[in-house]
Amino acid sequence: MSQSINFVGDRRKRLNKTQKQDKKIMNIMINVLVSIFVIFLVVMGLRIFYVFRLKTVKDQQTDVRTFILSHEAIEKEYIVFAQKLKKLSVFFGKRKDKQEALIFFSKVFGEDVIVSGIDYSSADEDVVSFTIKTPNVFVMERVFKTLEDPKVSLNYPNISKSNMSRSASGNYTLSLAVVLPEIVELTDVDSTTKGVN
Amino acid sequence: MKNNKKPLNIEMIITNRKQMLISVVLGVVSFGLVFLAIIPQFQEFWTLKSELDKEIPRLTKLKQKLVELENIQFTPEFAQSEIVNNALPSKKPLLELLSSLSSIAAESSVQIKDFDLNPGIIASDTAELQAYYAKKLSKDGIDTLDISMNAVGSFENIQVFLINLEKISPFTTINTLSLNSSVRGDDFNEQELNMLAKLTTKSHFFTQTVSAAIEAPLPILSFKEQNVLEELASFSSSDLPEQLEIKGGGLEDLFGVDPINFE
Repeated sequence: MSQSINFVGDRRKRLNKTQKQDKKIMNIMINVLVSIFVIFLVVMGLRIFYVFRLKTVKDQQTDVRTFILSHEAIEKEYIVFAQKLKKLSVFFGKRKDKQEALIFFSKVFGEDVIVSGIDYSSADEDVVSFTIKTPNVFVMERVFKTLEDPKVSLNYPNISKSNMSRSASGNYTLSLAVVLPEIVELTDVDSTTKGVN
Repeated sequence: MKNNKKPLNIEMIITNRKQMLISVVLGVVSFGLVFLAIIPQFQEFWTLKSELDKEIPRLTKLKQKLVELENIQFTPEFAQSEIVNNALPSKKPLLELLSSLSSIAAESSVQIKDFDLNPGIIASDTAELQAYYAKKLSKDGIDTLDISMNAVGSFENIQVFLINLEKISPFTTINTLSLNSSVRGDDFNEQELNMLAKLTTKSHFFTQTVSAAIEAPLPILSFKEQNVLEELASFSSSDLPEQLEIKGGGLEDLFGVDPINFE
């Protein structure tokens, strides 16, 4: 019996080893491909979901818009109402400062002094001009004292006097230009008047 | 020089390294799947997500606006819209002002004399009107009807008249006022009984063009504006019916001339 010599034994061993490695790599690659395919399915599913969701949201928007448009008349009326109210609140604010000044100056000098003129038409919106009238010079003196009283200057620190005149009947008139402070926290006018008188 | 490089034996590679070749093919497919399918799909998904993130708040706003619109008509504030419309009408309030003035003068026993008003631009060429509106009205959305008048009465009555004058609809403010006695003499008390108030007033009306986007929320009334509503509730307004048509208009033959017939 003849003895056989295997010349490719080493080569076969190396080939088997390489093939084992190839199989391992192939298994890894299969897993990678499956994973990637799963990811692809997930991403595609998400996309389809979002397409559907977006379509639903847009459809809902269209419906709500249609409802809103059916309330157009109310919306228009309400917006005009709110705008008008806004304008009125500005007017009220401006007028309130002037009215407070008028009430203050018609009370602060006492009953025998009358505010005979008011001018709101100054270019400067914060200035009001009053013309006050007194029956005699003694009352006018009292007016001057009242104007210098700290209780008056506390509320209206900027008062300028001008155009004092005397009529034939002895009445005195005086013009007062009052700069309205930004925030007027009026002290009680009655107590001020009592204190001065 | 002898070339030692062996030629590539494809058949042998296919036979012996079949799995490696499959791995390469799988790698190429994976690569292709990532770059040709997953990345574009993901980009598209991300765009959709961003768009949805924008659209959902928009839908919420629209829904909220719809709820507001459905509820707003039942709010006590909006129920007073007629008072606000009377105080600041959207047209020149000439008849309403005259009616209100007449009623407060009668209430305070004051006589109105030398009434003078400038109704402003009533009609003009279209171009001039457009220029007028563009210049004047778009500024603050308010126009005024200026009036000057003399009020005669006792000092107390004039005081009541002046207080009431600023509580009428349309919203009217005193611009200038001068008080004088209409009698001469030394008696201060007699002078107070016969006072003459010369005053100019401004009555306001609304001319603003208002626009709103469908998605814009409804304006919210501030505390200050709610206080104004309370103050407006005490305002007196005329009950004049709104005139929507011109009555008369040449139906009557003022001269009574028979029509001329030509034969």
